[in-house]
Amino acid sequence: MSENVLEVKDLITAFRMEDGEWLRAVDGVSFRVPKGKTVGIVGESGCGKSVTAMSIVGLLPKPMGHVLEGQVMFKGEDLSKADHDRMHEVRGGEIGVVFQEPMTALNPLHRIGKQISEGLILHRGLSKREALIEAIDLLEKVGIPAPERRVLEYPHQLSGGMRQRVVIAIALACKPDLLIADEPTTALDVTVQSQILDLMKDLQNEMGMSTILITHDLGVIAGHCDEVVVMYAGRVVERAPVREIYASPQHAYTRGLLNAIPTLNTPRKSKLNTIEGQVASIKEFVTGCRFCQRMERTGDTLNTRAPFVEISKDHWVEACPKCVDKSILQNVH
Amino acid sequence: MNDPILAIRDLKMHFPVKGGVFSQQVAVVKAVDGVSLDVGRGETLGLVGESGCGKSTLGKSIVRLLNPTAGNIEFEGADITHLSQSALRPIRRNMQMVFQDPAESLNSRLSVGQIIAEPLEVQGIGTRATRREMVEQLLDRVGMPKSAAQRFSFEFSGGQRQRIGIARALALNPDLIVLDEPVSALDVSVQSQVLNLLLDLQEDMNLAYLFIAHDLAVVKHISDRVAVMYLGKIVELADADTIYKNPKHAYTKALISAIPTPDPTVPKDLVRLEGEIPSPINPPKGSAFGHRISHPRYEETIGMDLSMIEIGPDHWVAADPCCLSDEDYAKVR
Repeated sequence: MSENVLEVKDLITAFRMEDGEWLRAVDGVSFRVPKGKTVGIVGESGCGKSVTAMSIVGLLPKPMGHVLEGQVMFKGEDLSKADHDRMHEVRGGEIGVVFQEPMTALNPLHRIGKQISEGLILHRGLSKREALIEAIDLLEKVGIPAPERRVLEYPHQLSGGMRQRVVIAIALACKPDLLIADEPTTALDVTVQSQILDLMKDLQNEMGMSTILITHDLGVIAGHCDEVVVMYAGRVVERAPVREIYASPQHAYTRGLLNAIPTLNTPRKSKLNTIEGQVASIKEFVTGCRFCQRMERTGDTLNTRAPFVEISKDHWVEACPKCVDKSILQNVH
Repeated sequence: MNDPILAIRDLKMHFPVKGGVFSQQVAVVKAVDGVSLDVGRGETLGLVGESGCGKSTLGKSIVRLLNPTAGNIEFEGADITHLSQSALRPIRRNMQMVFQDPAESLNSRLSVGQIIAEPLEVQGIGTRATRREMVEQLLDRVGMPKSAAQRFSFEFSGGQRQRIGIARALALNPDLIVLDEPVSALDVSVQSQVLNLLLDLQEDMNLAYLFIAHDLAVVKHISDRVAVMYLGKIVELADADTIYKNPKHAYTKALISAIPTPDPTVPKDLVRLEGEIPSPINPPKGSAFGHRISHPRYEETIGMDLSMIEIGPDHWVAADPCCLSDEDYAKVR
């Protein structure tokens, strides 16, 4: 087993509402990111995947958002206990972040060059001039033509794909150990999407960093991840190496998700498999299995939370007896 | 095609770009630039393309939310290209539209019942009591409880809101519905529910759909024929199975190969596409796609007639030497 860059243990992140109630958007999430690997976090909107990412880098909206419990072990240091100054060093330095919408991630008032240099000056102590030269290098690396001209342009002068390349250049500027990419290609077109994903993969191989790729697109996960974490309603329901998750998904939710997408091989106009119902509102979440809640099942599984168990090497599943086949759970001690 | 429900010929939708001191017209955006398409009764025509290719503009001009610059739109045998808004009203009974974002296309100040009854009121159909009954039937038809009529659209999830949008479009019992990215904003598990609903409705009511989307797997699933649009023009049109199995145009090939496959064991033989869509304000003089990929034969295409030619039975493709194999180009030249 290789060493882990990041280990998230039993993370609970909650938001305090105006009436004083705490809503747990992330409710006991554990996973790890081995060195040099890409871990994909997949789930539907509102399942807590972005909040998990925000908790790792300490970017939760204040004052409502708090990490209540758990650890975020990054190279042996618990980031959930780190102070403001330390997190400032980590973000953009040791952990790079790419968000979904490149237009909002970039400052419209500053030139591209300045925005890339900022991190280099802050984290690596370069002079303005050195930083600008490095910025041109980085733009070239992320495949932007005529970088020496582009550094002097503003974000609005670039297309969506180009802007996302700039955001990636910023995230990679300080050669981070971990890159967190939250839906990096969702706002982009398919042909541009594949360019960006390939670019991220190439740069990752070159720099030996680890990546967390957050997406709702199982196609993206299949092509670009080593391990997959499936989240549902604030929890991890299944976690396994990528081939295993597609070849033998064990949790009913993972199966439902995989069966629901039409592929080019699905017979035309045939009925698609669906997952009935919808995710319950966060205020109504049960303590037990939330997928049983969606299926409107009754009984014990709603009241008691099932343990997260390893059913084969590196393949973990939330062991709800109604969502996972019994024969699988029998072999677990 | 025998007796198409919708026939558009050489449709153009150009927008002036104003600038300068006196808001003079400085340029023209050719969003839709000479499109001809037919939609048969009960048929689904899929329209795919990347953002900015003009597919939504085309959809809006067809239902005459925009006034086309040139060309013809024939709906159920009548020319509707230049009809006034009042003359259009009776025609709109048979032609409806569903939009991408149900949160924005449903009035949040009206109850769901009022939203669905509005087209009936506008058209003067039924009395208050019969309309209420019709609303209940429509809600039932799209799989929503009757009680939804008294609630507001923002109380519902994205998938349910899209059902409400579909119920509104169905209220007048139309023959054609233009669906502009109807499932793009939905989660996968909900997306398949809505796609199944659309297939059911089509079968029961013999509806024709113009299905606009950027997700090629979804389009293939729901469509009988597929048109591929690039920079304001249709570049390929064929039966859905044919176009995916045997695409002829280089752009169609690239689009299909860029679809992320939800199966990690499938090897990727990606047609890498360099560059991005050129601006429709100043499109290249010759082949727009040839220009993007810097094709060696680009110069030849300047001033050349690149219109669509039938390359196989009901399989049409732009006769463009930059985008076809030499063998295919020899066939259509």
